[in-house]
Amino acid sequence: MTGIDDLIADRTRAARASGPGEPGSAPMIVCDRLVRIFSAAGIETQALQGLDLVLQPGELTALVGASGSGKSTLLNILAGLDLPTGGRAVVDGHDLLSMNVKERLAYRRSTVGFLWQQTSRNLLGHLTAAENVQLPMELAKLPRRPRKQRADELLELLGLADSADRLVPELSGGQQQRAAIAVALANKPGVLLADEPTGELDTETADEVFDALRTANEQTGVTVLIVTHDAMVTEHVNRTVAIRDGRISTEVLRRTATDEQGMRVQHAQEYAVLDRAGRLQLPGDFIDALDLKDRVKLELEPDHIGVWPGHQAGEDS
Amino acid sequence: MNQLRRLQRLVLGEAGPAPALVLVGVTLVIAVIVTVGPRALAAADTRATRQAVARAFALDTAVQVTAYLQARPAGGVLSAPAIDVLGERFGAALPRSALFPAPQRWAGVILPSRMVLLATPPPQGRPQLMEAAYRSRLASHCDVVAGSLPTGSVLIRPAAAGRPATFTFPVALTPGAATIFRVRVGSILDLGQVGSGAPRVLFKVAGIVRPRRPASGFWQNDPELSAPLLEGPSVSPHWLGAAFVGPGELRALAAAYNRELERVTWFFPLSSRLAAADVARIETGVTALASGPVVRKSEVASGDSFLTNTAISTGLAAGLATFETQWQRTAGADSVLIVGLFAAGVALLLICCGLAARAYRPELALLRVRGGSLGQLARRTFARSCCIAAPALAAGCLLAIAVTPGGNVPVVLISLTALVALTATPVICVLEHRKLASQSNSARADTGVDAVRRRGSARRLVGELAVLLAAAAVLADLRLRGGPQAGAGSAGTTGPYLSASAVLVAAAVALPVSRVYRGPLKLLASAASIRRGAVGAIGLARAAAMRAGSVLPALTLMLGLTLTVFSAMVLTTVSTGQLAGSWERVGADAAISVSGTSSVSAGALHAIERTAGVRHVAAVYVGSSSGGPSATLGDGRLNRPVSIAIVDPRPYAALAADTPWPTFPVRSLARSASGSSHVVPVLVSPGISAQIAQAGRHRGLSLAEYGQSIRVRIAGTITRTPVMPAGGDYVLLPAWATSILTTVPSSSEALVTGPHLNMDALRATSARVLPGSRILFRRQVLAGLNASPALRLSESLYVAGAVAAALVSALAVLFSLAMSARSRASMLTRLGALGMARPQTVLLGVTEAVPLLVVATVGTGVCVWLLAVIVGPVLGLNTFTGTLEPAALAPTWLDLVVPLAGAAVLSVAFLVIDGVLAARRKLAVALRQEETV
Repeated sequence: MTGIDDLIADRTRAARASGPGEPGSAPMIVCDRLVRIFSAAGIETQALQGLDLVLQPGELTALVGASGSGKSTLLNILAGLDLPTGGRAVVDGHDLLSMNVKERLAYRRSTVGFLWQQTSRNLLGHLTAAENVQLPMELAKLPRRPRKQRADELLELLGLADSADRLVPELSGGQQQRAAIAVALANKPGVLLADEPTGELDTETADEVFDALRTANEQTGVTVLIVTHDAMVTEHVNRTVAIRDGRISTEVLRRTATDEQGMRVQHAQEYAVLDRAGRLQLPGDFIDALDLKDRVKLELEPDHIGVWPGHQAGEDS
Repeated sequence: MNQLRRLQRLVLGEAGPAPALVLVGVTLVIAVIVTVGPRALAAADTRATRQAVARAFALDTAVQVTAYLQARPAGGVLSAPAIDVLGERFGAALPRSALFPAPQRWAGVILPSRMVLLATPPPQGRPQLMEAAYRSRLASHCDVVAGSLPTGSVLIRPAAAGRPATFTFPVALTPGAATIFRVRVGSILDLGQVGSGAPRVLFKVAGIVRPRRPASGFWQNDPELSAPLLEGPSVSPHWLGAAFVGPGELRALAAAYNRELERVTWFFPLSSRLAAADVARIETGVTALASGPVVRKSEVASGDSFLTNTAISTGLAAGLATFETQWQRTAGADSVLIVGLFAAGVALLLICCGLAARAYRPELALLRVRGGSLGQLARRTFARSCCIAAPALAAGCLLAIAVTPGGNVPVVLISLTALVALTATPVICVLEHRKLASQSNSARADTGVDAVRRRGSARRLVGELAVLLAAAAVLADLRLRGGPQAGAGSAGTTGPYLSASAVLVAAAVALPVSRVYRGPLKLLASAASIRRGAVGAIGLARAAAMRAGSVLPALTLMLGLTLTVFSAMVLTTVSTGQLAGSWERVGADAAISVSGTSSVSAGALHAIERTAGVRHVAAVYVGSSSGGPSATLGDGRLNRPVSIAIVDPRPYAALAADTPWPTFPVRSLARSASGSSHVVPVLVSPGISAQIAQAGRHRGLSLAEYGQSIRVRIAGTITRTPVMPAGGDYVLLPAWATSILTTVPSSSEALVTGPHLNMDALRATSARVLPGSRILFRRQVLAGLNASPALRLSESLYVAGAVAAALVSALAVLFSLAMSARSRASMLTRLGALGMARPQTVLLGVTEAVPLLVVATVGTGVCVWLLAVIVGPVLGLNTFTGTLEPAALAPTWLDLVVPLAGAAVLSVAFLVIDGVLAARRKLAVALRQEETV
């Protein structure tokens, strides 16, 4: 089997053991050593440096990282808006690197939905909310009646049934983003990608939008990947993936458990992500705390690996 | 209403009403221009044709049917009613018969002339012959001065012993005939007997009738009807006149004239209400009619008195030949203007559609992200274009049709305009998004190049070079075809190359200028950066860095300005050329030519000089009245035919100083100090001088005319001079040289100059002191040149064309600046945020006009020069100027400066207003809007 197939098999086994998705189902998104290099004016920039990522069907995942870490690049690749320079990316069975223009178009139409931060980029201001939702279905050449029906269903789901016939400028910011979510879900995509959907919104509205995303995830089973800086979002998703220098650095997994008093308590555990080559990124605060630099010493223990600074005080450097 | 609003929202789209309004406006304007142009040309053609028909000789614009009538002895003659019936039959068969109004048609019969037998010898020994003529509708073509029209019956006295029968016909004569034949009402004219046994013919004058409209075909067809003509050899001329008989006298006339051959004429004058296209139809129709069955049927229908040699003809082709030639010449320049305007209009539409495509870009990008195919994008934008541009196109065409009644609808031009207006936006959108898709798809190429791909520039360069070479080849071919090597028939042709010449020249210039103009600007920017102050350095650096829009706005602007200047150039060239032509035809402000053996005496010269308005006068001798060679110049072995002119140097030099020609070299023709006149100094034309130089024979030349010979010495060359204004090969002698001739030629012309000549006074003086002379005024010649119908109407077309071209140029300026509006606003916002003062930002914005104006100025200048060089000789404008040499197209400084200044003022005004408005916006709002974008 190829490396990617091994990975999928591994991940499938892991998915069976934990997390959403049907038991035994293939991952929805698999990125294997994904690389993206930009060239401009003779200067090359590696936005993604061999990124590995697997998302299971139905997951609600947040992707965080500093500016320039590669979040938007990854999102654009997964949305079919950009092509990677190397590696492999498979979304809902579609190999993004091997698609031609026509296949990519169909992919964007039916496999992924995209949500931008600015509402003006998500919706056409001269159309009503319902017309905006119907637009992707129009592009997919769906007949009129099913289009309307689907649009009504989605707007109902997202609490916009009363605003269906309003023009976009007549909607509030939160309503606009919810309408944008409906647009993204119009053709029943398997994946919904959101690029900082709450970035321009106040707290209350941001809550509203995130609730809508969660509703969409729970009700339709769509796999959601949200790029965000919003702490509120990261705290409410089961999985938060951190990207640093073009690679996945850490993941935070959250689960809710019932304590001895019967209270539901949420536990969050941060993990460093180990790539297929065995590399991992140490959290920055750990590095700073122990003043780790240049090289570290490793010691294998029966149940862990110890990492020590490369030089101790008093030793020759 | 909701549906209407929804439709409005869908049509206007995300970009709002602005792009739609611009597209509507431009489409409307272009539709008007494209429709009005050809229709106005057709309407002008019709008006010019009507004017030419009205000015033409009446006989040339009519259709005439002539036949010879042989009356049989036993049968009847062709009566007046029968002649009318035949006339109606011919009239009905005429092509476009409605243009030959029935009330103006007439028919006539003329019998052979007979000598009038006089009791006393005729005055001056000149015999008098008279024709008998019948004309229908005589009453509507004359006024009865005395007596009445010949409506009475013939008085027949039968033969008696020794005396033949006598037929007395009541006739009418014109005053001219009455004077020559010395008759009045009641007089009898004896025409004798046609042959033995024939009756004696007497004409009794029943009335004197004055011709009404003597220039009409009724009187001009047989001029002797209006006034007797002196015909025959000059040694023994005779008078030929005519007398009118009534319709009831034809039978008796036929009998009295012993059934001699009569000439029958049917005359169909052409109405001036015809359209230009009718001329060719009539000519073709008449040619077909002449060989058709109508003629044969008429000869059969004439009955016993049969018609022979029936001929149908029209002089329309000959009568309108000059007009047709002139119109063809203007058609050449008109086609340059019309095709150029069409191309500029289409280019403007493309720019406008490009702007619209840019405005639709965010909306279409979203559709692409959502999975819309290029075909869906194209259909959406096409539907939008149809809703926006189609009504504007229809409205523009209807408006143009309403404004220019008459003429065909230019379906081809309108269709092409519609094609561009409706499909350009979707095509541009599809190409843009296809390019983005291919860039995205090929981002994983081995080169790893991403985002900005510069691979297209090589393709573009090759494409531009191909266009440049093709344009150069076509223009070279046009220049060669229209040059001196080509036949005369090629000048003034309206081939496709000529029509497209302005477009080709603009394309050939726009491409290289758009590439090379940045070099000098970079140097200026470097120089400006040394100085203090940011505006110059930043402005010039930006101007050097940016393209002047794409090539299309530069091309459109150059083409519009070039057409504006071209129109002005044509008008200026014709105007100055006509002035030169009038000098070329007359030689001075007036030329008085004496007739026969008369000469211009010193007294006559003195009297002319004293006439009001005369400044200078000079008597000259021209060897041949026709201007052709009348002498030979040579050394005996090789002689060349030349024309001779003899002038008195001093007064002639003073007169020549009043003309636009070079100063006359008086001293060159001075007699030698020794007083010897054996070798006469002469001036020769450049052609003669070159021939002499080529032959190397400068000595021993002699001039011979009419058996006299004098030795001459070539003292100089003279190009143009009043006595030989048309040039040619000539020799100019001083008047003092005639003293050595045995037969002294006398002055045959008096040349007169004076800026305020009193024409009436000069005519009177000339008639008094030089009876029988002919006088030609330069002012009249100029007025005649200027009165050409073809030119008059074309002038208005050129003015309208110049206005339309100026409008297109203005729109091109505005669109070009609008295309860079966003980046300009962004730059000014950033500089404002950095602390640049408002006046500085406004001034900086104005520097945006620099690349546009540089390209416009340099490009238009080169275009105009090329057009003048290439197209000028081909247009054949000397048809209007009356000059022998081709009129050279040349712009005046005003022709060039005014349009360019207009473009400069417009662009600066736009940028100032744009800059002021931009400076008023709050920086925070502007910066935030940029982020959103």
